[in-house]
Amino acid sequence: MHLSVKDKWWRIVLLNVMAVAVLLVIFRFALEFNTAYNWAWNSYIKHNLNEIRPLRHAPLDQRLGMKLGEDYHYLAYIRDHTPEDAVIYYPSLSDFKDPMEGENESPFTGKLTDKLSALRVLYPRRLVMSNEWGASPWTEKVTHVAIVNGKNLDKLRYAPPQGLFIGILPIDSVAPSAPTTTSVTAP
Amino acid sequence: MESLLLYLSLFLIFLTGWLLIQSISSRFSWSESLGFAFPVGLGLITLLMFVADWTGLGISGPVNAVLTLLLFLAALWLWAFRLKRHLALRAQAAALLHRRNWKPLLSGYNLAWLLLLLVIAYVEYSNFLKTVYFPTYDRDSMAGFDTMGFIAAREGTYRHMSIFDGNYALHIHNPGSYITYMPMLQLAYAYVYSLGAATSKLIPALVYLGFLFGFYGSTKRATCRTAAMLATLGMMMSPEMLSFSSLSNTNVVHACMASAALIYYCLWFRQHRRRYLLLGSVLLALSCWIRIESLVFVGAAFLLVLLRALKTRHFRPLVLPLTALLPILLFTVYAHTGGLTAPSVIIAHPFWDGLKAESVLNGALFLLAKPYYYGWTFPLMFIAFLLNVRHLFLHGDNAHVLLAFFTALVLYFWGLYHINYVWDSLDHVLNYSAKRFLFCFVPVTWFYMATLRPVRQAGRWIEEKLTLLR
Repeated sequence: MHLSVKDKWWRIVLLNVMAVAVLLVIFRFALEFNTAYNWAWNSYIKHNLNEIRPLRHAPLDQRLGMKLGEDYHYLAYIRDHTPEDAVIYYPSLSDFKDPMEGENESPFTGKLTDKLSALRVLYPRRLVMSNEWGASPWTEKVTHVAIVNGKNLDKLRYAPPQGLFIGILPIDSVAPSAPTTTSVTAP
Repeated sequence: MESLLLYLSLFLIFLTGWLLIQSISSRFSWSESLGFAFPVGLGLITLLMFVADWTGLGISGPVNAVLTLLLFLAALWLWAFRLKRHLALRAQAAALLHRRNWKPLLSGYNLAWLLLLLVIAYVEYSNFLKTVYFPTYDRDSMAGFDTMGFIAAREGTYRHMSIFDGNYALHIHNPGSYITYMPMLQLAYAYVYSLGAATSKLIPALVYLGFLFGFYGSTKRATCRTAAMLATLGMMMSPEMLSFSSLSNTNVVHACMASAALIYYCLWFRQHRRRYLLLGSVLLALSCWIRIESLVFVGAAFLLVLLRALKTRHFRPLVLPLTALLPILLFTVYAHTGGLTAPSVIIAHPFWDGLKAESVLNGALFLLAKPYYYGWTFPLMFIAFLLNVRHLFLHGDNAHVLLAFFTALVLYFWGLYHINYVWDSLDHVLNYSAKRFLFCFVPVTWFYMATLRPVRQAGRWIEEKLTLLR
């Protein structure tokens, strides 16, 4: 059968439309029958866009807070309330994860308990970790103690203030600007 | 001003890579050059930073900016020199500039190809946006690569960083410590931080974006454009790899370079074009500069070259995969002279531990068979292999790709078996490190499937019927 140029063109278009339809069916099939593809498409790709769009001008602290939660807010709080040359005693994973007295769970996940993760926010401050306490020459130079869930108050060289569960305090004496907050989340 | 310097420097890095790829051969397509220009330029600038740090010059912003400019000028000179030598190449460039008829460039496309392109563009738009929107937040990057780059930039040195000081970081010389990591990505992060970046995420974002072009371009060398585009979408939709591509850790960046290197070696094995061997070797060296596990890909590439050499009695190309080891040798000397060492975790003597071998084997099978982390990638490969057995035995169809794939895979799990897990557990390594290492095999798998003989033939037949502009 001899087809005119116009008919040939329409046949090609029709074949293209059929190919597109086949591809769409394959996409649909993949999303329907594989939970991982479904997650990638609906949660990862679409959800990310929806999450980012309304907050496209959010400052970096807010963006990190969205991903790291209270753990990051706490680090940012320490950063904003200590001098850059501070040497900080940094709490252990169990300090972060064990809830304080009277609470069922800790507000922290313990995501940022290793030295480098904490330094990423606190640098150029120096950190002495719980497993370095006493063994590191930097122990003698500690100027501040990070308090979480009421832990590490015993590291202070003075009677700790009442009602302080989360915050950062100088190791030797309470400075006038020392916080006595129980929450580190920005209002 | 800082941002301007940063973006200008990144653009110069891209141009440097572009010129170097075009210096290897002007026959690399736009998608291949676009795809690999940035990582090639980045690899070279980090190598220069490494030397500058070693010689005491430091890695400050001004030093990095000057090094970038010098590197770009050197690449420009090399390209111009090659252009002068190859008059045909000049004629080609002139023809491109004075092209009147663009129809041949636009012919051969169809709506299926266009739909695949649109889906890829949408997915990558979302992925790229997420990557650059969120600063580094994943554990491995914060507890390693990103923080190391950040502190190196602030202190103007990598080798003498405060976190490498044993008095300050007491556990820095423990087995498995980050002090022994290959430094490319850390230096790349130090580069952007030293030029005023607030986060390092542009690096993984640009490398992954480029890789999509590069993978399409390299796959298209061995199959039709629609199959190459379908393979690109299949590869990028691998769920775990896609989500990790937005993080700052080394896995996906390494997977991009290592898999691209293996693909070019496979292309060379079949088509015997020297330019594939050269670009493959550059990418292989880059992958070694990012992660030391790339040794397994050097092994696979070497095997391919050896097989070819035994057939042709031409042994000189054997040197090329071995040159990829140079970054590892260089870093080993640097680390040992600078005290950046930790006890080896490799068990160097032969031994047999049945339980450990069983755990490694089960871990490997679990990762490859489960259609979750990598979607249907590996199960589809298995089905494609079964359906293609006839062509495999009759024509050796893609046997070289299978050989490279399984050599690297076996070497990797054999390596896992030979590690002494004093800093971590085997289960943990299998569930996390090995899972991420297998990203390297995802692009190779899609390349394998897209370039099988029946797929090539069917693809060309379908494209012939669907082509909108002839």
